[in-house]
Amino acid sequence: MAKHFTGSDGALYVGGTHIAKIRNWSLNGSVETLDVTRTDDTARKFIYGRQTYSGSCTALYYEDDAGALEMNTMLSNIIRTSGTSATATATLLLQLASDRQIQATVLFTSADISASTGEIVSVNLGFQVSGNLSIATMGAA
Amino acid sequence: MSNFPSVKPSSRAWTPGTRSQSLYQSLDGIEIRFIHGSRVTGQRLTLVFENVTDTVGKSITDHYADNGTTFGIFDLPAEVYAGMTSYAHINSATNAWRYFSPPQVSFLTPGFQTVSVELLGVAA
Repeated sequence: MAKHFTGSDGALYVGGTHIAKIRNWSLNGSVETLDVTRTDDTARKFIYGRQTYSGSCTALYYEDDAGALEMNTMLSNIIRTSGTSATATATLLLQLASDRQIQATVLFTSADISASTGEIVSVNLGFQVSGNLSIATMGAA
Repeated sequence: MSNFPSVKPSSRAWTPGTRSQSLYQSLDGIEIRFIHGSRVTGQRLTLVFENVTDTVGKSITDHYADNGTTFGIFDLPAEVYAGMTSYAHINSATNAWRYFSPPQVSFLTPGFQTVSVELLGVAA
C-alpha cells in the first residue's frame, strides 16, 4: 500500500536499545567526487570517491523509574571527567519501518544541553558515522 | 628507445630549453657568448595524472623503473599532448625525454592515485 512516512514513524536505537525520548533525528550522507578531467576535455569530469555520513538528533533528558539516564550511551563519551577512549563507538540504528533502516557505527561528537524555564531539558547530539553503513534499506528500492 | 605510457594527463606544464652556449666575461663586464649547436635541450615538461587507476599509475612508475630510473631516454606518445593540435615545438624529432626526478605518487581513494612526473628534454 502506498504511504508517506511522518516523524512519528521515526525511531532511534543505540546499541540495540530503543531511545524513546527522541524529538528528532537527521542524517546527512554525501559522496566526494574525484576529478578525472584530462587535458583534452572541454568540461570537467568526475567519478565517485568516498562516502561520508554524519547526523544529529535531539533527545529529551529523561530518567527512567530506576533513575537511569536513557541517553547515557550517547552522552557518556562527551560529558565526562576523563579523556574519551579512542576506540569508543556505538551502533546507531535509524528507522522509519522495519524494512526502512540505516545502521552504522558512530562516534557521538557533540552534545548541546539546554535548560530553559518552562521547557523540558533537551540535548542536541551530533554524530559522525565511522566506516560504511551496515544497513541501508532506507535508500533501497 | 621506449615510449612513455599512452595516458592523457590532467595538466601539463612546459618550460622551453636553451641552446648550448659558452659565456666569457671580460673584467669590465662585457659578455661574449658562443653558440655551440643548433639544438635546444634542457626543456622541462611536468605532467600530472590526477586520480588515475592504480593500474595506470603503476604503468608510469614501471616505465620509470624499466628505464633505469633517470638514466634512460624515451619518446612521448601523442596522448601526453592531448588537447593540443600542434605540439611539434615541444616534442622535437631531434629530442628525447628523460626523467628529471622520480615520479611522485599520492595514494588517495582506494584504487586511485595521482602521479606527477617531471621530464627533461635531451638531444637524441
